[in-house]
Amino acid sequence: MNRNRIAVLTAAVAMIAVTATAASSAPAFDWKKYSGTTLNFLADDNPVGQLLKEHAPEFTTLTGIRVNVLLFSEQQFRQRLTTVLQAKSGDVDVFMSLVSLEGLLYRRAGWYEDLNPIVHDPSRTAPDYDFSDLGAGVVRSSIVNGQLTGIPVNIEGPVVYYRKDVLAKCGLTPPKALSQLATDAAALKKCVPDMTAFASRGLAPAVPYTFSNFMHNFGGTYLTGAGRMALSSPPTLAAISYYASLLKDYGPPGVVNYSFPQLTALFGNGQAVMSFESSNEFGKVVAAPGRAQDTGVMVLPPGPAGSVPTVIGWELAISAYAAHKDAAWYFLQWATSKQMEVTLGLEGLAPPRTSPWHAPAFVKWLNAVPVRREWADALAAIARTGSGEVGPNILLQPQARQIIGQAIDSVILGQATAQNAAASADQQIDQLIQQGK
Amino acid sequence: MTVSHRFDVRPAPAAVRGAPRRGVPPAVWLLGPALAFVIVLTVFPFLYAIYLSLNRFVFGGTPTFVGLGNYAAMLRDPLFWTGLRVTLVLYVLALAAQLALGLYVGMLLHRALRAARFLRTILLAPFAMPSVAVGMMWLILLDPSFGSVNYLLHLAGLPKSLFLASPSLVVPTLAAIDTWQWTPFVALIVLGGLQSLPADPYEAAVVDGASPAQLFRFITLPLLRPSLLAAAILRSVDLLRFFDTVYITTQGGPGNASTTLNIYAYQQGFQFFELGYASALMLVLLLAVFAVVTGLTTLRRAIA
Repeated sequence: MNRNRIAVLTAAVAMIAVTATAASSAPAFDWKKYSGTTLNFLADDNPVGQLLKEHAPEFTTLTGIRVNVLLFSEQQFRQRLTTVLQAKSGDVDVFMSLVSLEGLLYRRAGWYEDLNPIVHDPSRTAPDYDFSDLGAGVVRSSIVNGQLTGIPVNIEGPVVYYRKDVLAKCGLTPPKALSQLATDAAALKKCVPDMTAFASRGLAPAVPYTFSNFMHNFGGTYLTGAGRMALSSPPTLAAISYYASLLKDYGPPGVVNYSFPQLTALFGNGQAVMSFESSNEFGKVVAAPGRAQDTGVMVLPPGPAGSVPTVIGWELAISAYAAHKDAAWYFLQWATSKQMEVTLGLEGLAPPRTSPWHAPAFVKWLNAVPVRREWADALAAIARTGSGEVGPNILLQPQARQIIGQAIDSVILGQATAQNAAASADQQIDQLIQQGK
Repeated sequence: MTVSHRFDVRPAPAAVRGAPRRGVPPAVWLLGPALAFVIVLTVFPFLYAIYLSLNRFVFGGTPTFVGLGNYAAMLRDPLFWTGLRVTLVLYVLALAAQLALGLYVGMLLHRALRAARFLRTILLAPFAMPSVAVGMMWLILLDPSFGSVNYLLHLAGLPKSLFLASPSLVVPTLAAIDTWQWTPFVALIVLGGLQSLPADPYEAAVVDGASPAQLFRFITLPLLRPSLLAAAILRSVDLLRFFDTVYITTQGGPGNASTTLNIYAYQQGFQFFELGYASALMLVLLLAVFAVVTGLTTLRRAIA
């Protein structure tokens, strides 16, 4: 009996030892696991899509997975995407998505693959992926009704590009408060009448992106607690009046047709002193002759409710009907990895992760030119304190944004007072909210 | 003596005449593919659009039957009436300008026969350009701040204009852009018509002492009417569906000043995802185009 007990104990110890060794030598994460697969990636033809297409061959070298990048202009991209997803087709595996605009609609339609279970699964995610490196606020913006709809691939927000030399010439310093924008613009209009003092978006569907920052700085909001439109509430109304009057009195002629292409052209040409436009345009703005030296970048000055910049970001999502979901996840991991975000950052795409901002190569690039440093600081503030509310967070948001933009346009054109425009827009969007139920 | 060759026309032999048909007539095989093509690519989408227009269908959802609800909503929708008005104003302005200018340019080309071949090649350029390129080009040229047109006006001492950014000027400006692009097309049709005009009426009129103005008014114009109407019909189909230039330049703005019916339907369908309502709008537009073209065709047949 004694010998039997020793034998059993030895066997038990041996088994424990074997399993322990087996656990410690578990197979390493295999990048080449899905080699030979082909992925279809539907992308928007903006800097995000363009850069990912450029670097896609590096992914193929790493994993042996071929990526078919389908790049389309924004409207065509949306048309193609909604058509494919509506048909529940496996034609698209990975796609770019702007959750702030279409998140609710696509989530309700069930088009996103939930990434929550995948991200924390060590058998499917590389050990050095470090999901926690993505800021909490950034991740929160990709979560819709409890589902992680995608992984953010960039962050952006509207920033004020300003001409340091012109402000100095007119004896002004960059405005420190929101109300100072108007006084500075008035002084600039007298000092340099040939230049546009302040320019920002006026094209109806594009306005909410820049307007929302004004609204939040005033302490306003789009929806009341009960879920009704609040454009007529005092702080939001004040923001509408202020934004419209700035553009009406100090903006470029024809501002109601302006979006980022015209704003970048205007500022790049040296015809605007201050331009409030997306941080994504940074590369194009400083590439214009002379702008790299005389331009400064800052977030919108704080208003009565402080500084609450608007922050959005494109994300990479996996289609719920994708034919190759696991290979698609490999692409997402690679595109949003620390190394890749440093590479893309050097080309002007602001990383949503925290660590790339401290990577030596990126820091060196940022410190090489002062305005790059200012751009980075502005983005850090945007990432830290930003709000993702560009338009009212309802199902039929695109239409709501158009209505808000048109209301502001009518004030800029002098066709309506801010009160009337806001009241009319409130009524129309309340109807939309009912329709979306 | 002439021998007349008589071609014997005798009835076919009874054996061939009475033989039964073998297999399917060749006409079916030859027409079949084309017919199938038309049915699949035209008739089926048309019927599907009618089906969609009777439903409320948001992308991502499933269609719910609403009967004529979309059409009733359309009649109550101020943006539908705005769209209709903008479409018709744009149509009338552009068509009038293109027919008048096209007639003038056509007559010029008819006169300057030597330079005509070279001029014709240059004139072909605008309407060979894709509408998107034309739109982007004019968007930059007409920009109030950094566009060349305002710069040239400034040099000439004339007041600058907002062009596409002015709610009152945007429709005439769009009509002008379309006229720039398509007048050569009308001119070429007119030129073709002019070159096929008979010389007799002119000779007779000149002998009778008619002035050039009278020649134009009483001979050229009436004889050119079929060509002008043909040009009008072809341009009408395009103008009533006006989309590309508006989409590239103003996207229907400022406000809704340049929202044509086609732009409005596109917005509803692809930006706001209301496919049912968008289908209803497009069917109404189709009806309008059909009505105008039928009217013009009947007019053409009446005067021919």
